[in-house]
Amino acid sequence: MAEAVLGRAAALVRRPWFETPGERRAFLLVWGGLTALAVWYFFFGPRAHYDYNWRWWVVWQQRRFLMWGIGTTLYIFVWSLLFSLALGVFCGIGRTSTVRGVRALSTGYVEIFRNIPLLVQMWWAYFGLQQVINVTLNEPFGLRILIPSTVACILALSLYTGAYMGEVIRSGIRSIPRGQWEAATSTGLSRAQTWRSVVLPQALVIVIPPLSSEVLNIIKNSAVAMTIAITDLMFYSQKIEEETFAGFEAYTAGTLLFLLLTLLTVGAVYLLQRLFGLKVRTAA
Amino acid sequence: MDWKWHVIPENAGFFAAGFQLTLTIFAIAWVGCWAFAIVFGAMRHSSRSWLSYPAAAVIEIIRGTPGLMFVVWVYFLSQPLIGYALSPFWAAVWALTIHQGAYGAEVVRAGLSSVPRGQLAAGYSTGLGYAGVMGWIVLPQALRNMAPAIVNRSVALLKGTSLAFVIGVIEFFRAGTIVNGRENASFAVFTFLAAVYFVCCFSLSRLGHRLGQRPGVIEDTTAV
Repeated sequence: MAEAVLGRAAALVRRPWFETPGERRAFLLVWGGLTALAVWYFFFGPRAHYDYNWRWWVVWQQRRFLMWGIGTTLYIFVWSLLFSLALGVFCGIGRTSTVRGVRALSTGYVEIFRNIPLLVQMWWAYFGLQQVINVTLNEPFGLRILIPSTVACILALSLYTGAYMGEVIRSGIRSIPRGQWEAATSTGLSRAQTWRSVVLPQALVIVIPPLSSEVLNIIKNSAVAMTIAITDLMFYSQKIEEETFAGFEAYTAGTLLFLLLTLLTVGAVYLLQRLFGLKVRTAA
Repeated sequence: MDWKWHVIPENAGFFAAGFQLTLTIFAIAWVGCWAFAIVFGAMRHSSRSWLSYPAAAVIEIIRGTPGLMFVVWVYFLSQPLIGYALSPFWAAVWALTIHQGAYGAEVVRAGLSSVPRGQLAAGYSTGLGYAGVMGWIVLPQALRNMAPAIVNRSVALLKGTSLAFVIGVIEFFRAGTIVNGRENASFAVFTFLAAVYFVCCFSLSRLGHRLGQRPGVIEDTTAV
């Protein structure tokens, strides 16, 4: 990434910013105008009379909450990543299968889990599933099975992301030419061996860039877990808001930490791509 | 085996009111999100770095934050920024507009990039201005390529309206949680919610699928 950034910077310096005087005027008009508007708004506009009591220090004071939140978010992220990758690989293979039942099953899975909001799925997995267990197991047999909210959250998040990853991996498998299948069969490899040592290793490397954006989505979507009382980064941002009433400061800190996590993941994906000797494309 | 399915017809009016609010949020945010997307997508597509770099920064920062966080953040941001708290409804509309708009901007940029630059040069050389080149040459082709991605983003927006629940908007999902809190029928209520959302989103995404069976088409389906 560093050399790419440096290369862009060098190109910027070499190329003149404005090719015509009209462009320079347009630049000054647009950005100068916006800056002037912002300055006017904050210092002379209607908001100037409203005195918001900035308390950025509370974020630092409550930093241990944010640290705990990052820990939980990462815990959920790692488990969901493992499960959804496994689900995605199986689903991707199933979608390209020649067996009709397998294909229908994986298509049904993808369509159902992609077309329901994650919030609904998570609440279904936490409250709905609990009632199913109550009615079918707990009440008839006198058991006391309770679904921990962490399990419900990881379950919902993995199923949701697995459906998207399945689609990405399917397109990766499709991109392997049919000739490779024929070549593998003619060298005497079985179907399972072909999948394991010819198709999947190539397909999984090809899909790293689109897959990485789904991986980032796990981090972002894990914020939804706050609604079923998972003590993640979002939950603790709300906690700081409740304790100090510095809502804007608390949520800004939470947002920036989420951004930091996603940026670190982007860096990790970059290293992974370098490891496989791929041409690096930007992943978002 | 009492799943209490009867709570659904009993609270049908309440669910309908919630669903109506969901559709209202969806409709307003849809218009706003594509207005945002066109402006920022065109800026990012521009070859002028003073337009494309700020647009890229805004888009990437917004895309890096969770939708739920963004909804809450806009709700609390309004206090220091404009001096009074936005109502939860308008905070949700603005947040979804901007958050989905950033994703939409990438769709717009991909659509504009799908038209070869040589066609722009050819258009300019025949004497058309910027508006003429965009309106007569780029947009007709770009829109055809973008159509499935636009529909898929609309599905994401429809699913995203459920996030408004967190700041207290009584839209369809929150209506469901309220009914569940009163009746304690989580299986029936959440299965019903899932079924309704599924029917709406699935029919939309089928439409997107039908539009997108050509080579060179952009299908933006990320899990947001």
